[in-house]
Amino acid sequence: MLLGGNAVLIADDLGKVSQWFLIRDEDTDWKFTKIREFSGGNAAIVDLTIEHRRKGFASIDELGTLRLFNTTAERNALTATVIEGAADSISYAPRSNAMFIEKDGQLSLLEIHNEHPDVSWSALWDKVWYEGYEEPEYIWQSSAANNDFEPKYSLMPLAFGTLKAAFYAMLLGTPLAICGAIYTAYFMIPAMRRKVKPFIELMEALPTVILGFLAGLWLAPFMENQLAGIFVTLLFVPIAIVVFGFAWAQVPNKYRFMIPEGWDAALLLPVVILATLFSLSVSDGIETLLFGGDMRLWMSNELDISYDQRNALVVGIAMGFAVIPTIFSITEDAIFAVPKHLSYGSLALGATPWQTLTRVVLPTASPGIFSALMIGMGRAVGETMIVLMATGNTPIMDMNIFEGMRTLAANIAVEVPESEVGSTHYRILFLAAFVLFMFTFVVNTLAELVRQHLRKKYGSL
Amino acid sequence: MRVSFTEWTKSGSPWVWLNAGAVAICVIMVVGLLSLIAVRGLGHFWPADIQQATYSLNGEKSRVIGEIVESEQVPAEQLRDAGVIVPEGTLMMRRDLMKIGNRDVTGTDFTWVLDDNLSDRSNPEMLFTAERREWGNFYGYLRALKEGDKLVGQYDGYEKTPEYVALWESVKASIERALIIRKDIYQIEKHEIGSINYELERLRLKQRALELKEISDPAPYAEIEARRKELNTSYEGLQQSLIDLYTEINRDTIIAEVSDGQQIDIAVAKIVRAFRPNDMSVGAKLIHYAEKIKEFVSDDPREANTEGGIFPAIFGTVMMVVLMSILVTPFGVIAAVYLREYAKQGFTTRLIRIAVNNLAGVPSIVYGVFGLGFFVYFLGGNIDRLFYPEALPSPTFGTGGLMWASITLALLTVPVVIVATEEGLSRIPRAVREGSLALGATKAETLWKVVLPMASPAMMTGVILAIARAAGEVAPLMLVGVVKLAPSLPLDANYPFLHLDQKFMHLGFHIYDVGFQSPNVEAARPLVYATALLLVAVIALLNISAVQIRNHLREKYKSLEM
Amino acid sequence: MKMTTNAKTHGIDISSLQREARTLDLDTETTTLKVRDLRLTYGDKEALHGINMDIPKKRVTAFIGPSGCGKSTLLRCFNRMNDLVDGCNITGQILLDDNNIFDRTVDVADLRRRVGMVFQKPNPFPKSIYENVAYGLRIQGIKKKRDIDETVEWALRSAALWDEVKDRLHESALGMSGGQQQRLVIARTIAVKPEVLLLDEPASALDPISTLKIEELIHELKNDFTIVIVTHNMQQAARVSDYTAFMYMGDLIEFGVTDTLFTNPEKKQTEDYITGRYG
Repeated sequence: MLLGGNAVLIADDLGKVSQWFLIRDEDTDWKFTKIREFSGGNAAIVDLTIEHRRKGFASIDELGTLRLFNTTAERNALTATVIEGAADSISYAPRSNAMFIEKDGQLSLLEIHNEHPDVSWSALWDKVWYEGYEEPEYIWQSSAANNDFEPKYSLMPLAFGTLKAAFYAMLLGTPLAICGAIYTAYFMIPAMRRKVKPFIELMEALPTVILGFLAGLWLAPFMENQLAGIFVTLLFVPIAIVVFGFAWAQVPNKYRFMIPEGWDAALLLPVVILATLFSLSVSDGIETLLFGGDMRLWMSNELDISYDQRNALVVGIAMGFAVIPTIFSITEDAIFAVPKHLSYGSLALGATPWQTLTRVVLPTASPGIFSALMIGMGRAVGETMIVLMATGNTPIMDMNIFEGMRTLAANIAVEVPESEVGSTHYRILFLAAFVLFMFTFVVNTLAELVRQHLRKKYGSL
Repeated sequence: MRVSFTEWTKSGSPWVWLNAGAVAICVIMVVGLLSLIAVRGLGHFWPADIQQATYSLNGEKSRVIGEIVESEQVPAEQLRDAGVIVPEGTLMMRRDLMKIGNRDVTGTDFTWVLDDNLSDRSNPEMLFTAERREWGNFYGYLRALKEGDKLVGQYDGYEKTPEYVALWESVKASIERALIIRKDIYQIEKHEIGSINYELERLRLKQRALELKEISDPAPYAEIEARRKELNTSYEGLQQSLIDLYTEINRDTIIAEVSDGQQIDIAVAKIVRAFRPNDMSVGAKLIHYAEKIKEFVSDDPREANTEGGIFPAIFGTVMMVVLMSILVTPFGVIAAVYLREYAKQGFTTRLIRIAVNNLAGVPSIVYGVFGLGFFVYFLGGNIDRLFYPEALPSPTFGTGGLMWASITLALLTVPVVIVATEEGLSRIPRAVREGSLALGATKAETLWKVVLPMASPAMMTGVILAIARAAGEVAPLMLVGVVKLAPSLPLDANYPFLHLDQKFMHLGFHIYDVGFQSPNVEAARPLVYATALLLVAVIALLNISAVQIRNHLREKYKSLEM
Repeated sequence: MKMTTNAKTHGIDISSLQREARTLDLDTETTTLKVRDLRLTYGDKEALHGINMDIPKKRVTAFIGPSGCGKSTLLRCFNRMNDLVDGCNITGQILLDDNNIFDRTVDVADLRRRVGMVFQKPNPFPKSIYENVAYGLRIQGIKKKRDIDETVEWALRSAALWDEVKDRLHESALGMSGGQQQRLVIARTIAVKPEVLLLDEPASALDPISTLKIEELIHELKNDFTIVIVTHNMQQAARVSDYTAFMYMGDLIEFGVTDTLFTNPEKKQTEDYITGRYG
């Protein structure tokens, strides 16, 4: 019997120990199932003993070899021959820091230093078959109500959540930031650029706690009410922009030339606002028409998609907002730094500005844009406050855009203050921070190397 | 002029327009966000009118009194499911969120009402709002004022009569009196008793230190004991005057009528401010508005941070930022000067630059974890063992505090300063340096007298940007010393005046805490918007000034390069 | 460019002009570009004060004058490159085949295809040599590989570059020498078969040998294109051009047959300039 009373350990003569517990099978009958096996040596096992507070056990075989195991981590912590010949029985001290071995009526005391047995590569990164679960799973559950608890330290759901949040943020932020940067650096007249650029860069200084707070308390409820409206907006605004652009080309020159050249982009401000308002106002009608009045209800009924109020879409928008200025600023610089004589050369050949942009300017600036994306990605991955405030912080693995997630960074912020200093949990949280650090380190170094490469390559321009 | 669609598409114009649209969207997002915060934040202080109306729901009629906070459309279907009788044929209904206050009577501050079911709406000028220290706002009609058990004034009607005005004035006077007494109480509790407690604690530590050093000489012990006695006596004196003050302050009560006609007692001591918004002129409202803003920036929070001011948070933020800049400026500037002026440019400097850039990209929470692990537990733990053994096991520096928070943020912002300073140094034309060197100045003299003064605006820019970043950073602070409610400011009149080991409050954390952790989020929301507005305003101001300085600097050296 | 002595200047001029033993006369030429009262301002500063001139077809016209006289600015007007300069305002007309190029209905891209331009500094794209020359064709939507191949070869041959680069067509153009790069840019420009070729000090960033090659090239190209060249090297103008325009302080001072202008200028300012009294 292992701690918690849910599992049974069975040892055999061949030195193998196996763990069994009850699993409900397809017919919902309880079946005793073998979960995992620990092998050590070939000698018959004489005695098994379990730790009193952890999911560990020790075995001793007839050669006197003591082995310490942990079931969750599937780890053999120690293999040592402690006595000659077969012991009669072994037994753990209550705090698992010592052990008695009985042989021929004599007791010997072993001191054991095994502070963090429940951590192993597989416990952190692989699926683990926890007690009471139907199948192996990735689970992060660092604390529970009762003492018999098997700590579940899989970092996978957190890493997944981190990447999911970053993915949706990039999905929203990248097109806006890069398109915006292209326009600002390449098409915008300098007088306007001087105003717009610092303005968008000001966004970068906006504390993320404010973005997170708005996302959680304003955007999330707003989106819950206007879900259809949000999607209509995403679809309708680009269409409105293009339609307006085309309509503008049809306007008689007399009126067209009333706007100074280069400022026609400013006309888009009201267009975008109106398009957004329009989309939001028709959203009710569309919901009634297509989704029977409530899109969320329809989704959960028809598509079986569950909806959290604080979900990945909210995070995507809020964090997209946070990465836009980063990506925008670097991309803009990269495009603006493309020597003017290159684009003049192309223009002088009769290329349209758009052709010049896509064929000459963007390829030249592409390493810079790549590095901007990397840095934006790094920012999205490490962002804490937004995800902390705008998601439900549920460590689940699901790509569904309407469900929340828990990221490594948010997890650290939530759990470090309440974890016991020096405990396994505490150390795993530090490990999580290290994982985050390594990720951003790799990404940033990559970005920096690309940038230096770029400088070398185009140094002659 | 007619342009065919294919021709128009071929020229790439749709893409250009889409790109322009992206800029427009970005700009609108920024403006929208800022104005959302501004409108909500500033609206918080405006005394809103109180509405009274008859509300009928499923045939039952009741009187509601409160402020309408927001409205939304809900599908009628949803209401029908909830058991509300809705006329046939309506698809959507307008629903208002009403702040009805009186949490002690009704149990909640807010309620949803269907707009169509409200009738007989009016804004009676006799309705008054009382901001209280507990249970949130009160809305209702003033009925009587009592001094102890003695009835001072009474009034039963709904009209403004001289009788009423007299009652209102005496209530105001009573509130005024209670506020003055409260000030005295605060003075005694916070400052006088506070400093006695502080000294007692220091004496205890002193004694413990003596015991730890195993000093057996009784003289110092006796000294401590004598002082302790002295302090205890003055403590008792203060305690007595406190009791007197409390009796004084609890003398008055008012009786007021709430929406359902019930009359309840409110202790005047619990009222912060009472006013009749429906009876205020615009001028009076403006004065009220200004008072509220003053309270917001200069007072302590009330009711688990959801009401009152945010002064300790402002103070904590400023303190931390000041300490951080004191730490980060020399460090960043020296690093940049070394990198640019002294180090041999090559592989190592390149490596360092990559590292600095990398440091700028490391998530802030990682800094927090580092600060916690290295500064707080490792350094702080050792400091405690070496210098404050008497206080153990309760940690002095071995727990999050102002100092560690500042150092952690200094580490976080050092790349900003380095990069900005380096940029400033690299902008100084070679000729200027050579000119100085050619006159026989040494490298250090050139640096000190010529280069650094010229690069100082760049350093300023760096420091301002660092401050702006630090002021808005919350995640690492959550691990290294920010608390939701600090008992005292880190700077006070007790020796050694600046308490580096103390935990502190922070604007950003305040937003997170009040907005997400407080029990009554709905009521706290306007305050959070106001706090956010303040934070955004400070940071935007810092950034804009940094940009201005940078532009000014560029202009200045542009002429130099000619 | 500084001129040391009068004698030397005239000596070079005369010797180089001997080659062209045919008679040239502005009045009998067909005109490609007509400039009518062209004024150009940058902000509140006027850079060109009403220029009138006719550029003859399939001839080399050189603009000379001291720095800042507006010769490059004028050249850039011909294919509206000045549109890209902030705060630049143009009045007056330039007629290309009797159509005003400043008309807002004119497609600028189309105009620039007809009036090609080569800049002072070689500006090959960071692509292969082949792609550089093919660029102009591709943006016109020509996709057939054979057509492109043919035109690239023709352009490179015309620019006298084919033999030097035929083995490394797919290497980066950034690896070429400055002179080669400039000829590549010329090849790139003529690949789209423009009517007019504008050369803005095409040889000023090059060494003497490369300069010579460019000048020879200009001679060759004259048969197919109308060429306008800006130079502040007077010998170069004398060597390569049929007609020369002397500009000073934003005004067109004198415009005429190159031989005449250099040997027997009508205006005092022209004489002062070509004899090196200022510049």
